[in-house]
Amino acid sequence: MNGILYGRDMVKSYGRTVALRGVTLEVGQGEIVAVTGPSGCGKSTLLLCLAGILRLDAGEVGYCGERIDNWSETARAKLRRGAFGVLFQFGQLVAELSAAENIALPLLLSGVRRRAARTAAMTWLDRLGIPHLADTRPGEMSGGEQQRTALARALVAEPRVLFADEPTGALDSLAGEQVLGELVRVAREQQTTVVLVTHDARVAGYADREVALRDGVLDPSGLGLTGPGVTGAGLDGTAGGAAGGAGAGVAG
Amino acid sequence: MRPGTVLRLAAAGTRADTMRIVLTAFGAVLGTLAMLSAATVLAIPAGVPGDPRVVGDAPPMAPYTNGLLREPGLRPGVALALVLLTIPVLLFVGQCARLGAPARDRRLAAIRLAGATPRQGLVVAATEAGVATAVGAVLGLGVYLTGRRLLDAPDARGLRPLPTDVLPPWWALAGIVLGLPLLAALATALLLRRVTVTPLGVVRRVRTGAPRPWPGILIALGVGAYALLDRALRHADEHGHPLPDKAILLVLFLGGLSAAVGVVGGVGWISHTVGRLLARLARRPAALIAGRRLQADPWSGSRALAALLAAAVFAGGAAWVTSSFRTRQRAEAEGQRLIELATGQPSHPYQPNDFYLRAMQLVGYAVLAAGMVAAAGLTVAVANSILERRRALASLTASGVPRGVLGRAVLWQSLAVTVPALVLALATGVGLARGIFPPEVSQSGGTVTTCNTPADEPDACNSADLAQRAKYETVVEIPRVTMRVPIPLADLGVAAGWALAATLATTGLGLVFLRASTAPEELRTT
Amino acid sequence: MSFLILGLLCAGPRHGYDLKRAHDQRLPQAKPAAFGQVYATLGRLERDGLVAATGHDRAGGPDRTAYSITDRGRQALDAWLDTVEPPAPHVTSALLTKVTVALLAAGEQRARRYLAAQRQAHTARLREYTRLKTRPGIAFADLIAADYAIAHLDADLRWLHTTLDRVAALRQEVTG
Repeated sequence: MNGILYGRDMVKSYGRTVALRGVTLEVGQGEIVAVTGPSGCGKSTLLLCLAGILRLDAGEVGYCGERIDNWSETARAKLRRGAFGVLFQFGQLVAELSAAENIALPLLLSGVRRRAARTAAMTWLDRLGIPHLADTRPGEMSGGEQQRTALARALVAEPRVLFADEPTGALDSLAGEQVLGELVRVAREQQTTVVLVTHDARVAGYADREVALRDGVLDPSGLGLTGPGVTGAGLDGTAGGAAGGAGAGVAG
Repeated sequence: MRPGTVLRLAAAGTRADTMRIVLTAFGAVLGTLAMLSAATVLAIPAGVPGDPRVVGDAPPMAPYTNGLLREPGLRPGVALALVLLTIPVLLFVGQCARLGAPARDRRLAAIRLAGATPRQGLVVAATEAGVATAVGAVLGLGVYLTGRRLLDAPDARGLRPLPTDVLPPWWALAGIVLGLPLLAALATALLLRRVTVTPLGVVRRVRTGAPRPWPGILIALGVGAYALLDRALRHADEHGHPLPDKAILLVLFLGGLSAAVGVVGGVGWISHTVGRLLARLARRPAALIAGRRLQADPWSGSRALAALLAAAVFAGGAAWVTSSFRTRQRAEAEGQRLIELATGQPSHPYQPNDFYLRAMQLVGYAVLAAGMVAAAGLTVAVANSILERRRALASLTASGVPRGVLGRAVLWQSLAVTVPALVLALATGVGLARGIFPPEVSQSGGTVTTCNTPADEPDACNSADLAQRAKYETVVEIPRVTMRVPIPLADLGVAAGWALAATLATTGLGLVFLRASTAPEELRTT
Repeated sequence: MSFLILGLLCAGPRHGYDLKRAHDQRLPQAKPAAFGQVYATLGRLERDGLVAATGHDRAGGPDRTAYSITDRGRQALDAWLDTVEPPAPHVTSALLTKVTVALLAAGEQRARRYLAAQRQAHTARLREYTRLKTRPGIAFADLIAADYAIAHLDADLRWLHTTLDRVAALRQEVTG
């Protein structure tokens, strides 16, 4: 498969609950792709599997043409601080470190000297408009500021791919718009590929294209509709989109 | 990862983390002092290599006023007691190192999410434990060295109350001060290895479900080692080359440590099984809640009870040793009675050997010290429970479970695990001691020759003529007196009673804080 | 339209042509105003005494005449601004009609095809507006107009999802 990142026939369960039932997709270099769907459809799981944070039960994930789903935990952790950046809704900042230290963390873990790492962190704080928060702890910041710090951390190592899971879910609309705007702006500037998970259509509007999931499978119609003629061509980029899930039939 | 980074990440923490570091250091001070004291006592030059059972004779008394230290026969016992006491202290340090661990593990998860490899996470955690312990060890050495100077008070005869004139060899000092932090770091790394910190803010423990049998294996190893040691000692004695002191002590220490760790580990299995039983058989909500919580986290009990259980193992062993000594005394008394009976002398009351008195005094002190360590451990456990129970119980309170039920559930949880665990610990202690002090004590018999002075020949018994003497002599066989050492149920019961009372008291204390800590404000996600 | 003109005249007198340009500028996303409509409105307003012609070129036709707002006009404007816009009094919408018909009258296949295509159209438009919104140096009026459009498109989409969920639930009830 082409594209910088791909996942093929991905299957993942938690105990007896099956979150992904065989999803295939590919993401091109520099694209911003939104993964949408109702809650519980498996989109967060999809993101975590693509980013190498969760191990698949079956299927494969590839980055730059190489399979990464069978890599060791150590190797996948190294990906997270170099090639991949991750951004979640909350809970990812280390509460006991300052903003600058949080942002510098991926670099520090890779062995960069503290001064160089701090300089990089300060650059990003400037870029995102929050240089005054360098020595503040996350607990003393607003939600929007926390998310911008988290965004800086996700981008500090200049990743090729940025994974974002509901990054603005906990924010009000203006704060969320700010964070998203920054995200998209920087991504375009650095030619970063972005995989963005959201249930909000307005957030999905920031993407180049959309991949809709429902009940663990691709949903080309985006509405849980099945049947011929409902490929919604262009929605997920693969021909003959996956079989519809347990979506609603329509009263005839 | 640069060392600066490791230190920064290890030091990043809240107040609970600072408390943990301070307590670990404090525990390390105690541990170092205990081990240094043992090394000092061992370093006192003695004539005869010590076998705790044999009363030495002939070698000169050491220049100390303390009776326990003077007799070369008792001194190894003192050293042994000190060495064995370090086991509860080590487990206490371990308990301190687990204080507030869930919050620390969550922080590690966040660091893992930022891209730290599993090894890097281990290094950060082990560094915290290692550095805290190292600071404590160095402080302990400082206290020891200053104490030596300050307490060095020879009286008019040149005798000292404490062995402040002896210094253990430098390699022993270095070994203790460096070994303790290393041990702490390794133990932390080992414990964390089994905990899979998935970088999702959720700590998933690999050992869910029925815990594996390794605790049983450790206990068996310890007991077996002690039993084998006894055989080995006898064998060596018979063949004329006695085993070196240090080797004996090492085996005793390692065996004891293995058994103690096994007992603490066994709490996991106990919690799991008791939890299942409670959940199935419980009628009232309090017991049901307790059962489920035990099943969900079977290791919370081991964290709270580690030092207490180690002290209980010690106490169990001490009870057996005391019982063995008492039986010895009874055997000797019986032997004396038989002799008196045979020779027709009037019976005088049995005067116990000074050695036994001193030995039992020593055992008593040692148990007291172990009890103090246990108390310290329980105190740390209360602090820990206040920190850990907050979140879980706050959500229960918020969903309407009355505080009374919660309090009863906590008590159930505590008791249901402590009672079986105490039984296990005491039994293990008895089992260990039984290996060294066998259950049968015998006073060898022999023959006694009595001479009945005939009325008409008053000098007959003193006559040099054996043949003549033989006419009036009778040889009486004194049978061998063998007694079984009884299991000291009374002593064990007392020990168990104290331990239970202490546990109840500390649980109750924790519950007092429960009111404050289950306010719904505790439900904040940060 | 009338009140828009009154509002534009608050700042000062303007020619008719000016007013048309200002209308298009302030409401860039709406249909551009026709001159005829503007002059007709001005005539009405003058007749009602809400505006007055003030310029010298009275004889030159409405496009050369400057108009200004009168006191009565200001009062009328204030009264209008004080009234709340009744929120959606009637449910009239081309989308609603089509979706209703699709669900009730069209065959399953056609309905599905239509619904999927409608959603796609909505999301594409949403993406367009978002792109517009994030352009640097955007005018404030453009920004709030884009927000308005996005909010409504989002509302339509959510309504589509909810409706289909209801249909699915109904179906389950019926088929048991």
